[in-house]
Amino acid sequence: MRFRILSKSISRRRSRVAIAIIAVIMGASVFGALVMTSMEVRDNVGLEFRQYGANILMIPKTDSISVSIGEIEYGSVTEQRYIEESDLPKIMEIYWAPNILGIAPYLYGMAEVEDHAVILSGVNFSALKIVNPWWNIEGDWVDDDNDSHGALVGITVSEALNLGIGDNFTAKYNNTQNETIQSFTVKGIVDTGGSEDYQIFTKLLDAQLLYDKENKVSIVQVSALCTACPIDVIAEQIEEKIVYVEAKSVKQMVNAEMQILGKVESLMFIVTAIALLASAMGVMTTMTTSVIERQKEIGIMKAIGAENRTIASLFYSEAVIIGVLGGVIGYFVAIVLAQFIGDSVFNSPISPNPVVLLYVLCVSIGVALLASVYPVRRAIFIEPAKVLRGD
Amino acid sequence: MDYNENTRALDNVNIEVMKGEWVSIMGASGSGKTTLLNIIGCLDTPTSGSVFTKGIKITDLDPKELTRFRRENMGFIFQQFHLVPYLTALENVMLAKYFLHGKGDHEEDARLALERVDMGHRLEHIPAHLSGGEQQRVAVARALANEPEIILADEPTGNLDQKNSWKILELLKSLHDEGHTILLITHEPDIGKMGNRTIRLVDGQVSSPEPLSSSIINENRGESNYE
Repeated sequence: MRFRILSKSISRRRSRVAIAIIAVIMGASVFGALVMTSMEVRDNVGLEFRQYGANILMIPKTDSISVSIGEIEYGSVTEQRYIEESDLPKIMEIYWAPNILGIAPYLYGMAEVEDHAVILSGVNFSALKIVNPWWNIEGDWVDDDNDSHGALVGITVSEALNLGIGDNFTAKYNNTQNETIQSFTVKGIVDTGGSEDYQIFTKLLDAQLLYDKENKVSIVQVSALCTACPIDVIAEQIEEKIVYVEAKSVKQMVNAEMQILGKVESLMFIVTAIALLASAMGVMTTMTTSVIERQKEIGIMKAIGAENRTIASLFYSEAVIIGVLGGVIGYFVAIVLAQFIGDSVFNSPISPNPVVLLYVLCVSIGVALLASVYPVRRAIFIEPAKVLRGD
Repeated sequence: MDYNENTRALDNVNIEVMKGEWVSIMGASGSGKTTLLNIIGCLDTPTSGSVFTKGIKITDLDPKELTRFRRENMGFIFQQFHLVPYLTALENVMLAKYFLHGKGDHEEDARLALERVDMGHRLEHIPAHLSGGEQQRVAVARALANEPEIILADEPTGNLDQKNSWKILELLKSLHDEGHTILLITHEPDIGKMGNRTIRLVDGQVSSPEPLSSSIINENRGESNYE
């Protein structure tokens, strides 16, 4: 019976209920967009954290010597320097060592592969996997222990050189004294969208042999696990242990993004608060109007025996219906709104998140119920004897 | 009994109605008839004085208890019919049952009540699609739905033509024959005469209290007692 009363009274006052629903949509969509953006960007930033994964980059210090004849400067020459691979275990001697997840050394060089000059990097694949877990690999990672002469090929290289999984290739390197040649088998294709796409990755030892750089690495990525850990202190401590390297944290880049997010969030929080307040006012106004319009009907219901509780539950049920409809529609509007924010502020698409629907529904139903408290009180104070008299 | 601070709608009214009696309440507009009926019907409360119904001092009940007492014992019929405009005849009657029982549809009971008032053929019509007489018959069915002991009718034929008026009065007559107590407000002397006796109100006071009609034989004396 309650359902009949509700459905008939609502369908008779469609436009009024629609106004209340629109009011809820306003608040719900802004709220939903805020939550979606915030969740997605936080996820992205988290991903970026892991992508920069190496929160610290170690490079050898270089001394540059300026070259001049007389007064004329010819620029400077820098001697290519390397980090000793055997020094890397020292990193684990620092105080914050337990927070270090992975240490990934790289040895860069330019090799000649199938008559093309390609950056061929020697790496420790198991460490690489830890510090760069987001790498998109078609095929398999190279197993450091078993796959002798295995290689990962960047997608651009694989397309340019027509190298597929399982194919073999040779890499040549012209040293000053002699030419070294190594042959490799493609184990996987790597696609990161970044500079990795233009490189070939082999085992560190293979590269060291090819380039004749035993025990040498060019740079080291150090990945630290931290939420609030002193990444700069870790970098300093690494510099103290291996004095000839410079350790730089990439925290600042991520921080900048978090700051933008924080600003967008606080702005949207204010907008959301205002939008939800406007929603509540909208619902309250339409509900109050509806109570006034229906006061005779409420009087009749009371006269024939409706308790205040029953009258209140009719109005609160209507509020829940308004909240649910406004919330669901608001969620879909939020998806569009979030896309817009994602595109214009963060340059990244924001995917719809069904969990957000739940939050939006809770908020919109809550707002609708809260906004009904006053109108329901008015309905309860209607005296049938007064509204049914005369006319 | 003050109706509000400014107007004294009823003053020093002292009446007693027996179970099964039909009492007509007459008086000029503004004489306090409706206020009297509303107080008896638990829709209104007097500022002072007391009302006993079925041995219960209803002037001591809290609003929630008044509501419960009203829906269990009173059936209202108004001059303006007062049906819920968007509900069908059937649903308007079901509404009264719903408020009494809290859940369920009670469609069958409502249908029977409507058949009883000869409205079985108009179950699915909304009030706007019914004539005045038909609307009032639906209202009577609604008043009967919960089988109340007391029927309170406030000028039930005031908006009806003669033919429809008599239909309603016949229904009330048969209810009275079944033992319902009826209090009926009317302007028409002819209708007033249908009751066992008439209470006349003048400016909120009872002008000519008539003696209990001798035709009423009631052993439950004192059961309904409005002071």
